[in-house]
Amino acid sequence: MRILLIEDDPMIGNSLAKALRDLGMSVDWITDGLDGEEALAAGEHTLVLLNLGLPGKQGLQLLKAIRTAGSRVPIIIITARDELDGRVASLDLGADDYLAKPFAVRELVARMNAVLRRQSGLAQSIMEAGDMTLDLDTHELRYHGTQIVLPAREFSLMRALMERPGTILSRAQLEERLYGWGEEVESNAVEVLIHSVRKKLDREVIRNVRGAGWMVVKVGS
Amino acid sequence: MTSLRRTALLWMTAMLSIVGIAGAAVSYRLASDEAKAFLDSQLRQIALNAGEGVPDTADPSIQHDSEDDFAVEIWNGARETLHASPSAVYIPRRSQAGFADVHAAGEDWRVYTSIDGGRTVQVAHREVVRREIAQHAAISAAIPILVVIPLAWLLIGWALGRFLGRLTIVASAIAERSLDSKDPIPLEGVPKEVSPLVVGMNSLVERLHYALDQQRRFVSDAAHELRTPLTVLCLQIENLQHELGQGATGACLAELERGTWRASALIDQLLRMARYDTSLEVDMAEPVDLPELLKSCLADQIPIAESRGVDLGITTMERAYILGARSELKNLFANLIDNAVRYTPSGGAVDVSIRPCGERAVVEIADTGCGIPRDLLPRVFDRFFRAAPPGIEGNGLGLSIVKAIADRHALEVELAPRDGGGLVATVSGVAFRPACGSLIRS
Repeated sequence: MRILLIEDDPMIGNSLAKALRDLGMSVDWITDGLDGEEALAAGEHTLVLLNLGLPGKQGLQLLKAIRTAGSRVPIIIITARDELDGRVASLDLGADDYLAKPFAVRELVARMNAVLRRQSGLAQSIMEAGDMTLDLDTHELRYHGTQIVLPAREFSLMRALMERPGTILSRAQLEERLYGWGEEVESNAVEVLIHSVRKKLDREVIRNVRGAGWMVVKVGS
Repeated sequence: MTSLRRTALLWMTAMLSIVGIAGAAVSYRLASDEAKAFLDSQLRQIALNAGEGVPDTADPSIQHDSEDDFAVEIWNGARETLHASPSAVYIPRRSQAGFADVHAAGEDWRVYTSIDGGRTVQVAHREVVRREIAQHAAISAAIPILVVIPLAWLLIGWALGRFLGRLTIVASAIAERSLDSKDPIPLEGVPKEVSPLVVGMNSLVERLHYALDQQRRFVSDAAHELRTPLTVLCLQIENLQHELGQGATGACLAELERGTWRASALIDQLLRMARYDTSLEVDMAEPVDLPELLKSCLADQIPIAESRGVDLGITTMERAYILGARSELKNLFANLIDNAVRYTPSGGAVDVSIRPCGERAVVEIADTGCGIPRDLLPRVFDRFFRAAPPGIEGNGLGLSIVKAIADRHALEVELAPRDGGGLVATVSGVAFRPACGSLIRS
């Protein structure tokens, strides 16, 4: 995997390039906006990590130029500017993700993988939340190395929860997703399904929020 | 406070009244004197032309008060009465010619006597009648002036109100300005005398905004400059962990990493604080669905609460909205819930409730933690003040941020000991009632 890192700060560039190389990636590191534009135009990279404040040409201008030119290369913005300023603007201009400094390498790598999966079209059939992935075609749920195939109702439950990871869904919201109009619903049907999924994998896969509902976490442990 | 309008009104009405009353008095006096002089000249005219007299042949029905009549008497040289007008009472003949005031037959008279050789003519007029005529004349002269005085008061009041109304317009234009507005107060329509005040205010506002902008830029630059070396530290610690993350070194590195993240969290909090301090008003106020907001705060905290063995949940969840900036309000509640979870020991519970209370929406976050001693409660919102036991991490900024956000949204925050141990944080604000149907979400 060949990564293009456009970062003007020598210390950050150095340590980030080293961290990524240690993980087996090949990293081309460029410190200037204009050089960055040239490297982007060559189109030899799998993914681009782009800092916003750059000498030569600003990151946002660079982003705009490359997207206008029609390149679809995945771009993740990394910036030390206030999150409010740049996030919306850069996502609007076609960045695939946005990460504020300081960040942990493992989080960056997780985001890179997610962006690449989305790019390759895998995302259409695989959902992801925390440490779980759900295959929409095979109904396979993976968690910490365990892998099970879910029956229809349990699959619908996990799909509803994983569509919005980090969001609490109430019993009414889940029942609405799981059962059709006029279908008889047992009062504890949702609990039974959740209990069943937890028993097969782990209690932690579905979190209960007392008085509010259930959720799956967005970021893994 | 002195009121220009009241002072001006008071002075002008007082002056007008004094001038008016003096004017009325002078007119009264002049008119009265003139009437008397006129009556005197009438007396004289009659005396000089008096003769035998004729009976009254005019229409007898004409209203006529005999008291008003002149009394005319004519004597010959032998002091015999030659003629006396019908209404004449006896007034003794005076030996001296000219005007005189005489008391006769129980009344005061004004008398004119004319002596021509042996013949004496004496004309008299009742003083009461004369006085009455003079008074009537004087009053008719003074009354218009007296009537005009209160009219003038009303006019002055109205005119002053009109002029000062322009000041009120300027004042309300200033009062209605947004605190973050950079446009100068417009000078059109501002009275010339007041414009230096407005110009001065504009220049003050401009300098204030400049200073705020400077500070905002400084904060933003500082954020950038501080985060860059921290990023390097975080990355290099991870690189080190990758290379020699075993045993005692690994433990040291983990501590180092924790410290770095703590510094990074502190910088984020400081920046937030600075941002709230430099912009005085909420940027975007929108109706915020409190149950939805609190649920999202809970979702963020659930993994932490579970890992600490704290039972975090909602006890009451009723529909309630308040107006504000969602991201800031989320920050407020996230800080309070984070505190509650942080200070509650394993096995404890944190209960969140949302309910409307009259015109207000109330959110309560109650924990079973260590609480805060009553005497320290007034200081908990101070920056860097920490009331927590020393074992628990924190920077003392969380509650200051809560307070800053609450102030920007006109919300009330109160921390109080909970019955049976722990702490209750109560946040309340004016409830927003969405127009029917416009905000109904599942």
